[in-house]
Amino acid sequence: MRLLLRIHTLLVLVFLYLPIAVIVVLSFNQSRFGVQWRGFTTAWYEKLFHNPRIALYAENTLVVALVSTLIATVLGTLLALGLYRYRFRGKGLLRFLLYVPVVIPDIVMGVALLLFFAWIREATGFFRLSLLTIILGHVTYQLAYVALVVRSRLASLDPALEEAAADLGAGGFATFRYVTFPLIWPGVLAGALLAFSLSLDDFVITFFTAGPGSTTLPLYIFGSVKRGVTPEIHALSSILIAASMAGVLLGRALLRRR
Amino acid sequence: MKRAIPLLLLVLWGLAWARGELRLFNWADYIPEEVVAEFERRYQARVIIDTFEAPEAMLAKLAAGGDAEYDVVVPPDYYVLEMARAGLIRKLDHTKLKNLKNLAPEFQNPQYDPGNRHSIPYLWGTTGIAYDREAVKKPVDSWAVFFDPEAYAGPCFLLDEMRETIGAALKYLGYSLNDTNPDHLNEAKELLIGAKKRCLGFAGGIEARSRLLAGDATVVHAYSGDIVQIQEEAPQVKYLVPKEGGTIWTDAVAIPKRAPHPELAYAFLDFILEPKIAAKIANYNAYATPVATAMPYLDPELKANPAIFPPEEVRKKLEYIRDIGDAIRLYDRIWTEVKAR
Repeated sequence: MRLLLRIHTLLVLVFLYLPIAVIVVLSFNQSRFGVQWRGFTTAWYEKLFHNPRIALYAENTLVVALVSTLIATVLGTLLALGLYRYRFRGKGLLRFLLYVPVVIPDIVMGVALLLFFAWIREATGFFRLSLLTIILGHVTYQLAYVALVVRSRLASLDPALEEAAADLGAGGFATFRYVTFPLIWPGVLAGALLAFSLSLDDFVITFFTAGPGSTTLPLYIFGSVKRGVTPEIHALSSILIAASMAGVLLGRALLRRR
Repeated sequence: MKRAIPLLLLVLWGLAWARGELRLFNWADYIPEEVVAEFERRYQARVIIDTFEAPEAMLAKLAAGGDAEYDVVVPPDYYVLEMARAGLIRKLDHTKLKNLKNLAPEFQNPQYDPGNRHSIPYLWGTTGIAYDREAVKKPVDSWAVFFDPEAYAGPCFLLDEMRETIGAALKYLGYSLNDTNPDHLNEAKELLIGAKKRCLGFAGGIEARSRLLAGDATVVHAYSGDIVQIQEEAPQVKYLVPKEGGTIWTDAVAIPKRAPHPELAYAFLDFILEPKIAAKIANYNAYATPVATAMPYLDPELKANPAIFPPEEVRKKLEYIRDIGDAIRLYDRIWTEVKAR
């Protein structure tokens, strides 16, 4: 039984990680077109780092990820706090709505955003598709993830601590500043890192909300598929994979900390 | 100090404007970095490149207001007239393109854009057959390898492109690949259904190429450029235009109607018509250049490769895929039937 379980686990891991491993291996392959191994090289990474066009796409990707994560973390944390601390009408509904961006298909969200921005543009002349619209698009789903992570952290919080702070004369803000936030910050940071890695490799929502001059790395990778994926693209993908994995691992490590 | 920051930003912004910016909407990895850098140096401008993965996506973006965002776009030949009719690209002012005379005569007045009124050609190529010389069972020189069971030469793939693939069957039958006669199209349909059963199926150009390289397929319907690129690594792979003829395609370069920097866009068009620049673009992509004066600067192997520059008698049998109007519905129906069988 035990053996079967091990084999099963192994198969699942192979299924999940083999395609990624193939990409990483191919990024070190000398052959430009085939899948045959022709020897080890880091030339594709060097080429990548010397390409100013790709540097611009990387810059776009990072700007979007950083700004959207910042916005989503602040708003998501406030949302989680509000849900934790207060009772109000429609709280159940709000809690339910929080899950919607998580489960809704990205493509529906993307198309909805595209139409929404087009509609606002018609009415006001603002919201031309650009980095800004991508950032807003990313915030829509990142917000929910951050709120969910922070909420789970809040759930493990002892309410007596906040009560004690109030007893000792701390106001709402002081309580948050000196008691609640120091206790939940690993959760906040974990949520932020999750949001960051989600933004870093988002394709679908970015595709629909991107305008001229706002090509991101995932968009560029997609664009190259039809003309043949070169090892340069594999190298780029490997870096993206490493970056988002690092984000998730860091987040998990922080969440585990007591 | 704090007050200086907005001022500084304003100055930087002003400088950015003064330097100029060219926004190019192109296929991914279709222009060598060296060429872009040289343009940036010479015109003191910054080039921003956005990429598309399918012409449909490019058209959609342009129609959704992108015609006021981009300075230069690279549509396939068959979209040029459609885009001009839709008012998405402008009529070119030939007085600003002094290098237009560098084009080979057949590209001075191409079928898809008579008189180069709305576009200039960028690169061209053909659609034909690629095969593994060491693995084929029979000689390959005709579309028959797909359509005649007698000529079957090994596991094959057809292109997953409606016009190309129905076009190949029409060519094999001796018709034009823009034929709209329902009887002719029905004959083509029957051929395609038969070919589909014998072959491994339909695939995109790059996928078919990978399968050919991996040895799963020995004969594939392919674009010239895709195959020529790999010949250095895989010399056993050959490409030819079948004796019945094939498709010629051109990627064109056009200026959107409301381009924000039209002067720079004209400069760019004229720039890529320069012999040395055009040669660099062709060498990088391993496609044929329409710029006749670029020939001396091409890599000798490129110039000598019949897969890139087919001999005169083959070139006479090449046809552009043309807009066939409402008859496209007939094609759609046949394509659906073929795919469903």
